[in-house]
Amino acid sequence: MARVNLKNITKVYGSNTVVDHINLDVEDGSLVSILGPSGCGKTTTLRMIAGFEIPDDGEVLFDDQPVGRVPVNKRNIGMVFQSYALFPHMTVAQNVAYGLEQHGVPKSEIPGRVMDALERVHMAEYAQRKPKQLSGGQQQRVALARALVIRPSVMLLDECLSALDKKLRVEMQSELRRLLEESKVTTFFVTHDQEEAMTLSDRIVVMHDGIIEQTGTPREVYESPRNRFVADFLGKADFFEGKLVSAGNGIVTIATENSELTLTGSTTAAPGEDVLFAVRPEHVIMNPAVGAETPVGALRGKINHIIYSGNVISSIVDCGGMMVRTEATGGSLSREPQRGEEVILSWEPDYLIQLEK
Amino acid sequence: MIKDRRTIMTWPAMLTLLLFALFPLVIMFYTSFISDATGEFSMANYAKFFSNLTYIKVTGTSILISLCVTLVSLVIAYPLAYIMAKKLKGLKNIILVLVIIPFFTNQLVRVYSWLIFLQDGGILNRLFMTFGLAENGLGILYTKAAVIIGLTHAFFPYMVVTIFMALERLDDAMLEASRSLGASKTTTFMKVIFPLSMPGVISGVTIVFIPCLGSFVEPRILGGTGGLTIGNIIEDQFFEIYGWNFGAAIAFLLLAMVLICMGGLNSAGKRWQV
Ligand SMILES: Nc1ncnc2c1ncn2[C@@H]1O[C@H](COP(=O)(O)OP(=O)(O)OP(=O)(O)O)[C@@H](O)[C@H]1O
Ligand SMILES: [Mg+2]
Repeated sequence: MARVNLKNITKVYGSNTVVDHINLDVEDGSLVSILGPSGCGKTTTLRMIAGFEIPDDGEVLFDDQPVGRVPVNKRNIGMVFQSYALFPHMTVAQNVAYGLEQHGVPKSEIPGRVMDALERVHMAEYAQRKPKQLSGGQQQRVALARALVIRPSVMLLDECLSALDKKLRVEMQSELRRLLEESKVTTFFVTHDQEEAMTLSDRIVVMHDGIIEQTGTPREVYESPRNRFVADFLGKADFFEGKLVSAGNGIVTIATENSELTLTGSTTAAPGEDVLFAVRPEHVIMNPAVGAETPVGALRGKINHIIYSGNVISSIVDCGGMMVRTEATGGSLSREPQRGEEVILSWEPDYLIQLEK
Repeated sequence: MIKDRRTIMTWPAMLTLLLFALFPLVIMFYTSFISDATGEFSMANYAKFFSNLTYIKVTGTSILISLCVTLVSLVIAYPLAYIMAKKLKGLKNIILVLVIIPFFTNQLVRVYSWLIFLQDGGILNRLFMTFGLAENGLGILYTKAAVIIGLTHAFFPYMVVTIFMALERLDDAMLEASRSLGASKTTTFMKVIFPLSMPGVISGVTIVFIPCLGSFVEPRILGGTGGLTIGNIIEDQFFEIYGWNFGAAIAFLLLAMVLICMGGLNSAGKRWQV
């Protein structure tokens, strides 16, 4: 219920620039995931939006109004923490009522709104319990209800599902999505779980070392990663790096350190430039090599090892010293790959992604 | 079988306790009913205590002093514990060591230091007189105030530690949650921090108030006549007057008071437990 803009926000601890001139515009009511490895500054960014940290440079705007001078309790935000942070001395109902009392909601309205919020997270029957008497998942629901009941303009969630086990987490993800869509609240969702970011959000912000590497829809970020870091962090990728020799007719030729590679695909780079390409392992088609001929744009190699992980079988193929990963969903393979087998790897031209060098 | 064998292991400890704690207590309880004058078994010792206004007054003084010490300790200890646990986390170990120093000081050294510090011609008095704040000295020594100062010094570290532990356990995210829900810092303190620190406050109160009730060294040395406590009366009965049986009776009255206070504080503590 508010548009949020981050303008050049920066946070420095000592000599360590933890968040480095970040710019981000978030539409009213959209759900943005901030994704990145540990220590990249996700929590710090979130805390600056909340007002717990003051940016050393730049400003945060809610609906075009700078909020730099607005204290946390006046920003009308909803926060959900990894540790749930419920008040242990209050019942579930009192926890949810707390924010309403602070916002001066008339006493007569409070019980109704509390029950309504609890019903929406299916926790109404636990209203009189203490947080200690609830499971982790139930506590998380209460924490959500408590944050949402005040109708915040911005919701901030910091790895709020990561303490739950995998199955419950997936369940909560869809429920969270439903709740946040219902309440149409602008949401920042910090996570280091890429799958969670993909399923939950309208947009993903990939952070690394205090800067934003890329922003886009989950599909954009996954299918057109900008650089090596994003390609590697979201999903897996095979990289091909070298000097561009020639390009055209759906074939790209590059010179690597010790050989020349022909890859299926196209490029905007000019010959002589340093280039970096990536292919997603699930786009690599693996066929047994028949005869000595290698089709143009394909790679020939020997299966080095095979990783079986239930739904997916990954084969790591040694193509003249370069390891290329392929993935196939278990059911789609006509026959099991064998270690040491000679194979041909190929892909559709569109699947060759050109990355920034 | 196994359960039996386990209980056997506790027997030596039980026996020691029985022999050195319970047994003397039983003997004392018995002698408290023997009149010092006639040697008969009666309620005479207890009657003597309640019929003499001086004893009742001294009991009142003891309670008053203990309450003051507890209150002053609380006022000093709470902010200190709060700063250690939430504000200057980096310095908490240093502050803790400084706070605990009185623990490791010999009781007599500690009390005599106060004696020297507070006496006429002592540092404090001279300081006040040089600045013209008190003409004839403060005259603090040999009053209840001196006892309160001495006892507070001895016992407030316990309070700092118990409150610190309660506050330390408090998840910072909880305080931030409160702020994000619209509560000011003051409200957060009143509605979240303070209630959750109550168990620590109550154990602190218990651990300061109870030993103060029975203290006799500080009152003896710093208190003069106005600062005499029930502990001094018991001490006198045993070491000066040799009214052991009467002394035992007063000791049991003190014990009863202690037990009642502990019961009350304990149930108060339960109410705040989360
Ligand atoms: N109060 C602070 N003082 C000094 N350095 C800090 C402080 N808070 C965070 N940092 C540092 O800032 C960097 C970013 O921290 P931040 O908590 O934002 O990371 P994060 O992306 O949330 O990581 P994680 O996924 O592990 O939670 C880290 O290197 C951290 O050590
Ligand atoms: Mg974090």
